[in-house]
Amino acid sequence: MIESLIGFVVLLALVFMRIPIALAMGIVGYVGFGMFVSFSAAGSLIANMAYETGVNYELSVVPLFVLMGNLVSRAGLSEELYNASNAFLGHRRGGLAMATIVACGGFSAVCGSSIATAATMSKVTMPSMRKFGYSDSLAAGAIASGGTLGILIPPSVILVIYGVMTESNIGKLFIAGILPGILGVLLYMAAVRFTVWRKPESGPPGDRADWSQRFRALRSTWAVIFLFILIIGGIYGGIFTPTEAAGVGATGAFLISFLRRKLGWKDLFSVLVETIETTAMLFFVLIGAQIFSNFINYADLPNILTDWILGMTVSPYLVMALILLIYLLLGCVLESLSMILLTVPVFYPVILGLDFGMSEEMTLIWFGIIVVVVTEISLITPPIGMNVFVLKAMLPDVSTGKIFSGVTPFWVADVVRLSLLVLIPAISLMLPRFMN
Amino acid sequence: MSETISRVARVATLILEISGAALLVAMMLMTFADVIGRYFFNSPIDGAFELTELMLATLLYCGLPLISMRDGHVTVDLLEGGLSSRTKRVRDAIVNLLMAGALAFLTVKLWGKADLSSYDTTAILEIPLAPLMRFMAISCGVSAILTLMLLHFPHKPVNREVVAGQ
Repeated sequence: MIESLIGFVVLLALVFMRIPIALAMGIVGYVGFGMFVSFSAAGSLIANMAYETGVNYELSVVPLFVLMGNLVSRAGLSEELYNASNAFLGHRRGGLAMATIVACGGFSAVCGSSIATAATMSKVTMPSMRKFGYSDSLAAGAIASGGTLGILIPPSVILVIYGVMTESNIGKLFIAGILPGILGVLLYMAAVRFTVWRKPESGPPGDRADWSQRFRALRSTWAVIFLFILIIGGIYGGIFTPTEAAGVGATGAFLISFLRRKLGWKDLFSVLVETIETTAMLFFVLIGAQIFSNFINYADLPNILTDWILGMTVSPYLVMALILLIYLLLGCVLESLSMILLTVPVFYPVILGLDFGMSEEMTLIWFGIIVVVVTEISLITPPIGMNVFVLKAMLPDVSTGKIFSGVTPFWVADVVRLSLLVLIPAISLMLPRFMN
Repeated sequence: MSETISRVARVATLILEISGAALLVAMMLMTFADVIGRYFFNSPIDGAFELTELMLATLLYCGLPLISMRDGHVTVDLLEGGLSSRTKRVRDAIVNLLMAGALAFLTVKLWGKADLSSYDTTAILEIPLAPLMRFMAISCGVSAILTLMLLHFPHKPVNREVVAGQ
């Protein structure tokens, strides 16, 4: 037990010295495993992890969904989504910000990355909100927060990785993310309403669209709806495995952007290279995490922790609350993928050991959704909320502090959502329960 | 001298980028064709599962030298503000040496794994696995060299907007 804790402390120290996370986890895992077993076994361990993480069928969904996200980011879908939601909401006070949230939710349904969602949506929605005189903090806050939905509403790269780590069904995890994602959209809209109620001048009403314009705008979003139904319908109906859905979805996104002439050969090549680089970055962090968690498991941390917690006979919800508190704190300092990779192997046996009145499978799916929502929160929590940095990079003239202050009501909405999801597991589990 | 090196690096990069891009497209189209074949013509592609796995692994190790060269590994930049540029340079040099060492170590280990796996093949298509492991080892070795080159040559960091697909 003490060895694993030392391992965690050394790891954090290395990471803060700006040693790449993959390398830091690999070194600590190798040395720890070597001291426990033998350094020759540790050497074979890292070679095996470096090889096996590469030849993992379930993980092949990652590059395909990343590719699909990169393709749709350039296919103009974000504009259509925003125009459509704007046609319905834009004339209200704060309506453009609410339309931004809805459009982010829609874009998340074809993109598995929060950062890509925020980056893509900001290009479309920020100029429009500025034109109508929205305050920068509300506008940037809405985009940064709405963008976080990318990893919750399926497809989701983070849910794939969680599924592989806990051996949960990735298709069911995807389906479980739908309702919590919609809940997120509704609560974020409430956060916009709250902001304009406090400061009416921050979000003046925009133009009103008539019903024929609304329907025309709605019809133009067919590409998103088509892709979403194809992927998620296919997974829900048991027609596709997630990898197949990703292959079909990426091909669909490719055809859509090609037919619309949004993608020349040169762009296509840079999209492909970008996807390879993102995939490689992700996988090497994953390989490092596998080496590290082999050490942690060998040091028996998950079991000791589980026995210790079960010995205390406290309410399972209290344990859950403590775990979430740890996540919220870690989210302030750690990059979100590494946070999940480091903590899930330790916490999921604990959660399985507690009695929440559900089957093991459903408990893990529920916990997966909760972990993703906590991760979403970490993306907008200071001092290193990645989504806020994306907005900052897009809008050099707006200060980071201003964006964080705009994010605050959305952060509160997230905490409300998190509590609801913990207290009412049915929000996450209703849809996956109906799957075969 | 340095001109030759940078030309070699450019050509190598392009080869890696093109092979990676071709693999990614092939992976996408094969998955698509497999699904279409299975549902509409009742004839899935034999061993598509295995091919996907092998392609994924090859793709990753095409990407490793690319991200090594562009300083593209995921890092936490929390404590960057307070450091002088000189401290940062020294720190970066140490980190790069450490990274190069780890990659060189992985090269040796993966090559050793390939030596032990000369008779291993995939289950259906019986594709030998040792060449893949040797490719991984070579990729790690090349990445180690590129990481050492970062000590001397300026690099352009990759676009961090898309960090790690979060």
